Amino acid sequence: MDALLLGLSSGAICLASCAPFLIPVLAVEGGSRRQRRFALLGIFLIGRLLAYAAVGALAGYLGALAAGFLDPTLDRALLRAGWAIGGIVLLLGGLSGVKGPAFCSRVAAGERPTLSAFVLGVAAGLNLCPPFVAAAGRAAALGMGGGALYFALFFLGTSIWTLPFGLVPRLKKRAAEAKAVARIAMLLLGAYFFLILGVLGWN
Amino acid sequence: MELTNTEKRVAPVARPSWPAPFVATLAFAYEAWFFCMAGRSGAASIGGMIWAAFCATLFALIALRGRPDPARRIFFSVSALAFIPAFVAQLVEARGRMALTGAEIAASQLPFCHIALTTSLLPAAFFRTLDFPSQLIGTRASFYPMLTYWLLSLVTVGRGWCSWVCFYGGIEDGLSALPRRARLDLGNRGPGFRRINAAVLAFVALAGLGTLVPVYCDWLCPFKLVTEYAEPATLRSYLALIIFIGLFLGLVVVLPLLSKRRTQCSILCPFGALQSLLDRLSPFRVAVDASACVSCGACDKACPMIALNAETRAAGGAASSCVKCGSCFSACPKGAIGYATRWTKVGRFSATLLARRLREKGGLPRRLASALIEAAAALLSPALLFPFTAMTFGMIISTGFSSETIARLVKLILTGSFALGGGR
Repeated sequence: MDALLLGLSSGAICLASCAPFLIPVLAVEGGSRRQRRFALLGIFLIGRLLAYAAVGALAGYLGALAAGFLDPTLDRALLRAGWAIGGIVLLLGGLSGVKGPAFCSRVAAGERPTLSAFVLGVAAGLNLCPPFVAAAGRAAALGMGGGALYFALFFLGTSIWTLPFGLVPRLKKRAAEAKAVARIAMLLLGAYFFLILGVLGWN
Repeated sequence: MELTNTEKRVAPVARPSWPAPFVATLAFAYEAWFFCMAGRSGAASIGGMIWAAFCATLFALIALRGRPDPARRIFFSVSALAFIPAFVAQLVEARGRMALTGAEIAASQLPFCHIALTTSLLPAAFFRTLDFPSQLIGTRASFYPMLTYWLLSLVTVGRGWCSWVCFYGGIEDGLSALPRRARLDLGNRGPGFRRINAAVLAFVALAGLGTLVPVYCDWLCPFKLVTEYAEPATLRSYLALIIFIGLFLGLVVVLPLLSKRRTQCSILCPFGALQSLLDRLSPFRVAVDASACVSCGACDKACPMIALNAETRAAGGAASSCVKCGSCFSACPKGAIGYATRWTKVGRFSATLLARRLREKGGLPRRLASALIEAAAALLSPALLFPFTAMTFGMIISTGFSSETIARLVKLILTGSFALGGGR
């Protein structure tokens, strides 16, 4: 119950941190059907659940050592890894829309929206926000299985906040235009997340 | 009264008939005096007086000629040029330099600028906090006052903000008008530019929400060079400075001079993209009378935003990136372009037609009523009402720094000192 409530109460933060990953992907790959968008959202959430459960299990396994694991330096390293992974996926998604260079054609051919959504979910799950760190602290006292369960419930509480992403109405008249804009935004977001936040670590 | 199809096809930009321009000019002169003189004393009141006279004169030219340019461009460019000395002088007087130290940024005392709204709106809505190091309220240049100006602009000038109000856009607008002809033809790149511009807005808004960092202000704002910037002390700040210099020289100076287009406003500025997105809330638009248009393309070439092409003209207007500057009015040989309201194709209210029908019926009371209605309709016609609204907005925003710059220049001439002291 504690985990669920913690997730529910901190959902706005999750919504904000997931938005830059989710919105461009849903705009580009979401298609015209709502089911498709919810399916991608579901895959994204599975990726996030996996990252959450892994961190929860690790925190539970480490127990008291988790405090050391969650020290600011390692926090930051995980956060940067999350930005870098998410940045790469967004960059590849954006590049696949560019016509011309052979590299872009190859990226487009290898594009897998479901895999992108999953990896972005994992990347978003590594975003160590204050509620996440608080949840990890609690999970540390519960053992490996308990920790994973605690994080799974925390995940459930936060995920309710992300459901509106699937309900966002799609522009029917200007769908192609919106898709093109979303692809360019993906490139910009990807470059910023990967280079500035991920590699250089300037936040 | 229902308009017939023929009546609906009246050219959207008839020049307002006498005495409407004179009445509008008098009204504008009064409000210019009011806004420019309020709360000013000493040297600042001289600055306010000169700025009021300058604005009123330019508005008179716009009203009497029935077209905004070149008077609008002079007003807009001068107000942008006047912003820089006043702002920089204030910074230097307050802290001895333009560059900001980390401590000053951490203290969150920076003036909030309208472009920062694009990155701060979502964090403010979600977390009631700003990603920009400024205050929510407390000064004229804090978040809530700027939010109020912005909301007012949406229901009045819309994207017209970018050619009448913005104290950055005037630099580029003036520079793009300097060369006689374009040396670089950007062709019909308008749709592509609009996509990039919308993507920059999405990027800035989403990155701001996800990271609580003002990405645009930190990395992309070309106007840091003429306002304030982080002190170049680290690799990050040097890299940011190189980007600012590159964007300023490339998009604000070189490309406008070469292409006669406002490239920074068309491609980069996220605030412009936001205004375009919400421009439908503004009652005013630029309309093309398709029946009078001869498709010569002169307006396409004159448009600094590449917002006009055969497709938009056939649809009776300009693309969403149109900044309502009116540069195309003068270029059109048939007078087929002008300001109109969103709800009708005609430039004047249908009251003009009511007046005509009353006059035709005869009788003194009807003729008098007809004359009154016609005068009121001319006064409220978009051709007059839009420039009045837009220039009022621009004047209110620019009065503070423009008056101050004039006052400083007067003091420089008289005493040899640019410092103003009290009485701003």
